[in-house]
Parts: sequence; structure tokens; C-alpha cells
Amino acid sequence: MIAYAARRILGSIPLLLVITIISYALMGLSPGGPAAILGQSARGMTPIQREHLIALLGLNRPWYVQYFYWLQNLVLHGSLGYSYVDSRPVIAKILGKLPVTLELIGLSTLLTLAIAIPTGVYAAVKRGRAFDEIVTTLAFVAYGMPVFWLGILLIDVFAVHLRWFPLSGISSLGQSHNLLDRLDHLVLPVVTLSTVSFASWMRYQRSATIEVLGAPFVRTAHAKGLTNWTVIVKHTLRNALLPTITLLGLSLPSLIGGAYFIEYVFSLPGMGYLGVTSVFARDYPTVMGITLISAVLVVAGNLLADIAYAAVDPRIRYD
Amino acid sequence: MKHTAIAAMLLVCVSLSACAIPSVARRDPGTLVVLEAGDANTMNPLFANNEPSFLYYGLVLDSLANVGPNFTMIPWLATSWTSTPDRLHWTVQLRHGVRWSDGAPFTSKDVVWTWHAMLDPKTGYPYAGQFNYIKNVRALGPYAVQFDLSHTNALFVSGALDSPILPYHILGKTPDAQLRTSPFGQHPIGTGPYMLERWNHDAEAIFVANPHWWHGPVKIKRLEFRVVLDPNARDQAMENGSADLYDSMGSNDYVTLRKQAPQLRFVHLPDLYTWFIMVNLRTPGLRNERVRQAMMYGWDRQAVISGLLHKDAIEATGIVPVALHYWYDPNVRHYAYDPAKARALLDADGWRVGRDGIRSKDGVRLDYTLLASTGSHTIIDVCQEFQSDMRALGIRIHVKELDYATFIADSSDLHYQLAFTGWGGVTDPDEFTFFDSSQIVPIGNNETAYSNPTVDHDLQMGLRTITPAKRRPYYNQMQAITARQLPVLWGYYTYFRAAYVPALHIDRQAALPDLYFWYDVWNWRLDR
Repeated sequence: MIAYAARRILGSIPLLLVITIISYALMGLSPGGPAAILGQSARGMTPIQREHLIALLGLNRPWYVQYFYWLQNLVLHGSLGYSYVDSRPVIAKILGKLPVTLELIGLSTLLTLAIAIPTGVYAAVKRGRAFDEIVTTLAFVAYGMPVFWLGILLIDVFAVHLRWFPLSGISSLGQSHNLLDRLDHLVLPVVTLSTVSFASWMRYQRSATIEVLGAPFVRTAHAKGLTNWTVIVKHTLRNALLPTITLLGLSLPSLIGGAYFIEYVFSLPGMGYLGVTSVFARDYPTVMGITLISAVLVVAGNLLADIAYAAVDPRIRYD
Repeated sequence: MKHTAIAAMLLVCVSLSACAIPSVARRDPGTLVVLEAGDANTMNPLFANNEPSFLYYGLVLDSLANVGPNFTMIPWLATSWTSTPDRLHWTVQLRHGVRWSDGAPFTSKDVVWTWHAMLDPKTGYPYAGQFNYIKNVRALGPYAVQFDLSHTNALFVSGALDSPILPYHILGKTPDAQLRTSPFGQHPIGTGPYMLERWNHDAEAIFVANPHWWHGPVKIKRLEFRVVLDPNARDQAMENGSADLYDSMGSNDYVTLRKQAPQLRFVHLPDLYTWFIMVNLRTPGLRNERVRQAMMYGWDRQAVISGLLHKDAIEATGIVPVALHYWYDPNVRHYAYDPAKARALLDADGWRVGRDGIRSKDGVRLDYTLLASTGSHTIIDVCQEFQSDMRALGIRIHVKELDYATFIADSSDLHYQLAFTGWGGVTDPDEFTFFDSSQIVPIGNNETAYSNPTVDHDLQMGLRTITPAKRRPYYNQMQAITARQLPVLWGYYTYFRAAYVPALHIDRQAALPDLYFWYDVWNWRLDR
């Protein structure tokens, strides 16, 4: 297992390199150039002054040269560099924002699992009946909704018109240490993210349960006279959860991507919000830092899912 | 049993929701809570690049001279300044007994080092070019400094002496090229009325009174700046009393709060910005003065102000904003909306309407692209109104939205035809870099390629003349000529707006707009 994990980690290095190269190239080739990093001061500077400052920061070099220096700094000094916008170390900026993103993703995953697994199992048990049809239709509708659109819709209904929840942000004024207030602010973002991911989780769980329900050991359990509840919970669910564990790892990219949109829509000061504002400000070091950390999270998520799969299913061995 | 469990669960849910309803936070009555729409980037003035940054460092760092009522410059860390008759050598006497917030003494070393860092190209101070007339800064003792200028410059006091002074004992050992990444920007030490206590980026910045401040104790001991990104949430915070002050608010918020929170007090002043459509004067058709005058007559700016700007703007007549009362000249050519006159001007100049409704003359069609920076719906709406007005004259306008970086790049190298933009924020009428013919981009900020020898003379004389009364005629003439020749199509002047609770006492009669609103924060009082 350790050798397998080591091989996977080594194998992910070229992948991460390719991700960072593509990201850097996209930023370097985007229109406008680095004048954006000068912010409001750009307007008051002459073009010659702007050129001087851009050259001082090394931003007048081709993107691949800049990328080389960025990579060199990362490999030799383990540093993600300094933000062009506020000159703070990029790692400090990201670590300051990471908790909000992890909170959002974590709570959303918990909520999704708490609803999607029982719903999927129940839909499988009631396969072809009204409940199954309704839930499947709703799941497809949710799956087809763009996450930012759903977020705006929920804000309009529940925050603007009904005023049940706060419009945006992570806490009310002066309540940054109030846990309940924080949860109150997270309700709409978490519900938005969960709604969109609910469909795939529910459908996976339903399919896995249907497959297990037809297995010989389930028939044996019924034949032994066990109640339906016991057969489903003790025998079916345990086996039907295995594909879900894999999905947990595979869904990380869409969860992280969705969280970025949601953070922007709900003005949550997380890594996604920082990423979007950094893109607008052409803050290359911060964008690259976020890209790299997101990529590492996704790769690590996939690896952990594979390892967890082996841990819960004794039939699987990685050599 | 089942019902009991459901009832218990419901009870827990209801209790949790009740607890979760945000309440007005219990606050220290001596703390002023201020709302900000965005966070500062740094408190190092050498690298600050947004308004909250300018505001925050202004609380912590003092300058040699400070803005006073009516934008006059008053001695601050300096007690006086005198010059030689040719105005090329200025001696500045420094205040004795001033201490930095860490207790270290303030001396001429700090001033000399600050200027050395500002002018060193390795530092990368964005505005270093504005001070290229300062040849040398040297100490004449621990409490006196001499500035040597290459030529007389009327902006020396309001521009140079107004710059914040940095602590030599903290930053002096840092190479200039590394000042950008110095932690000072996040943990500043200053001689100003406040010290930074805590800064959680994108959430809050808390300042407390500086016990060493030379001026004496401030009346409000604690300032809490809260970053609230959503404008509706900011309005709500002012309405329910969880914040005390909201400055630099947009016209939407101002209208909303005036209606929904009558208990609040307001400051409403013309600000220091002028909004206009810049014209690339090298563009065929647009280089014709009559065409530009026709465009001005055909642009219904009053409709823009009434419809899009909540009647909260003033028709602009020139580059000097109405807020600079002393310098603003109202007696220049005005362009009241008159589409018939606009058409007559174009007809008289030989611009004929073609089959497609677009005017042309000698193969030149009045068909242009107007650049607008994305990020402001108002700007895009104003541009679309302009497009519609011009269409009625037979001039086709394509509105092209660009991100800020592309907008700056395109509009500053004359790769544009028309561009909507704003300019200002300063307290002096000098516009040498914007209108002088020697300053056509990339050398200066003359992004229209405007050239007029009389205006050049006025701008140069305005800079060489120190006495305001003698400077004023030059700027009046500059305003009259640019109002007639229209190197830009003048749009409107905007307002500065602030809302605050009645417990906060601000001298409203002496209030200044924009960041200068904070110039007398040390004198504000909070009674509750």
C-alpha cells in the first residue's frame, strides 16, 4: 500500500507541472497585461512609469520565463512568492482563506451525503414507483442548474424577499466569533452547493443499491427471515456504500470548482473568492498558488479515495 | 415515541434558528464602527494602490504638511517652511518632541530616508515621476531639512510636503528593492493619531489611539473598519445601528438610506472627480472641433444625471472639478442639450447623412468605438445613453466593454477612438501632464494628443507661479480654451456621500470630500 501511494504521489508531479504550465500560459496570454496589478495608481502614472514598474517586477518578460522563475522559487525555496497586489506572502494569503473554503466544502459534503444516501437507497428499494420517479426528476433538474444561477435565485428568494437568511458574507457585523451566526451565513451557500451535487450522489447510491439488492447474499438474508430494515441497513447499505467512497474523491474537482463560484456569488472570503479577485487583478503569484493548492487537493482526494476503497473492501489490493 | 422524537427534533431546530438570527452586536460605546466596501492592500504608502489603503495609512502615518479646511495646507510634522526667492531651495523646520508609536524619536533622518526611498527607481514607487523636480533632500540638523528643486513647482507644498513620512529606524536597513515585501505594510509604525491594533484581511482593521501622538489625545479612542462587500448589507448595518459611519457610498445607497434611515446624518459634497469621454484627436472626423462640439450639444447629459445618477451629479464644464471652488471657473462655454443645434453644426460643416443614417464627409464616416471599463454598470449605462443620443445625430457609436487592465493599456497608447473615464482626486488645478503637448503618451498622461500653445503656456506658468491669486488667471484661461476646443467631451462631476449616526460629531461645515473627509478625524467626537 505504501509503495502504491508513493508511486501515485510521484506520478502526480508531472500532472501538477502540466496544470501549472497551462495556468501560467493562460494568464500570460490573456489580454490587458499586468497593468491591472497597479490598481488605482495605474491611472495616475504615465505609460513610461508603468513600464518601469512592470519591468521592476519582471512582468515584461515572456510568460514562460516568468513561469521558470516562479517554479525555481517554488522548488528551491518552497515559496509561492509574494502577491503583486499587497506584497504579502502568497501562502499566508491562501492559508488565511482556506478555512472558509474547507468549511463550505465540508458542510456541503456532509449535507449532501446525509440526504443523498438515504434518498438513493429508498429510491432503489421503491424502484419504478412514484417516489423514485419524482426524486430522479428533481435530481436531474438540480444537476442541470448552473451553480451561480441557483445561488442568485436562492439569495433573491430567501435573503432579499423572505429575509430568512443573510445576503452575503461569512458573519454579521461584530459577530465574527459567533458560531450560530456563521452557520446562519453558510446555510444558503451550503444548500446551493449541496443541491447541485445531490443529483450525482443520489443516482450513484441508487444504482449501487439496486445492484446489491439483486445479490445472492441479500436473498439469503431475506430467506433467513430478517426484517426489511435489517437487510437494507446491515447487508445492503454496507456494500452499496463502496462506490460512494470512490465518488467522494472523484467529486472533489467539481466541489472545489463549485465552491469558487459560490464564494464569489455569496461574497464569502474563501480561497475561491481570493482566486477570482486575483484573476481580475492579474495577481499571478496568488492565482498560481491557488491553482497549485487546488490541484494538490484534488490529486490528494483521488489518492485518499483509492486508499479508502482498499481499506473498506478487503477484496481490493494495490501491489 | 415516534412523534415525541419528531417534536424534540423540531424544538431543537427552532431553538437553533432563533439563536442564529443575527442580532445587533453589543459594542463598546467608545468605538467608532466604519463600513468599508473593500479592504486595503497595504499600509505602506510607497505601494498602496487602492482607496482603503490610502485611508488606513493616513490614520497611522503623518506628513510634514496636512490638508486643512478648504484644502489649505497647514503645518503638521513640520512647523514651518520657507524658500529662497527663486523658490528652488526650501527649508522645512520639523516639530520637536514627536515620537513614533513605538516610542522612538522622529527626526530629520526619517524625512531624508523617506524621500531617498521614494525617489530611488529601485523602490518602484508608482508616483516617483511626479517628484522629478526634487533634486536632493538633506538634513540641516536633527530638526531641519532642505529640499533642492531643479525648477520652481507650485505643487511642492500640496504635493511633496503632503507625503507621509516613514520610520528610518524600522525600514532604514531594508534595501530599497525589498521594501515592497517588507512586513511594514502589514504592521506599520507611525507618528499619526492612530496605531494599528489588528488586521484580518477582508474582514476588519482595528485602530487604537496612539498614546505618543504629538497633537495630544484623540477624542475617539478606537476605530473599527469592517469590510462588508454587499451594498445591501451595508445599508442594513447603517439602518439597524450596527455601524456608525459609511463614507464614499454610491448614489444608490445614499438614496436608499435617506429614505429608510431618516435618523442618520449625511455629508453630501461635490467630490474631486470629473467624468468624461476622452477623444483620440488623431482620429479622422473626431479631430474636427465642430464635430466634437456637435457631439456635446447632442449628448443629453441632464437625462443621464436624472435617470442614471439619481439626480446626484452636476454637468461638467472642464477638468477642474466644482469641488475646488477657488479654481473652478463657471464662466466657460456650456453645452446645454440642443440636438437641433448639433445637427446644424454638422450640416454646416458638410457632414451628410448617408442611406444607413450615418454621416460622412470626404470618405470619413462618423462611426466610432467607445471603450468602457467593465465593473461599473453605471458607466456602461451612461455609454449606452451616449450611443443612443449620437445615433439621433447620425453618428454611430459601438460601445466596447473591456476589463480594467485592457482598458488602461488601450486608452493610454492612443489605440482608441473614444473612451469613457474619470480623472481627479487631487486638490490642485494643475493638469500639466494631462493637457500639455509635451506630455502626449507615453511620456505623460496626455492621452488625447491635445496640443495648444496657449494652454501649454498656461499650464507651465501655473506650475511656476506660487501665489494662488496669480495662478488663477492661467487656469481660468486653460478651462475656457478646453471648454471650447473639447479635447474631451465633458460628462459630469460626482458627489461624495457619507452617512453617520447622530452620536458622531463631525464638523459638517468644514467637511471635505473623498479621502480628505478624514483629515480631521482626530477632532471627531462620539457621544453615547
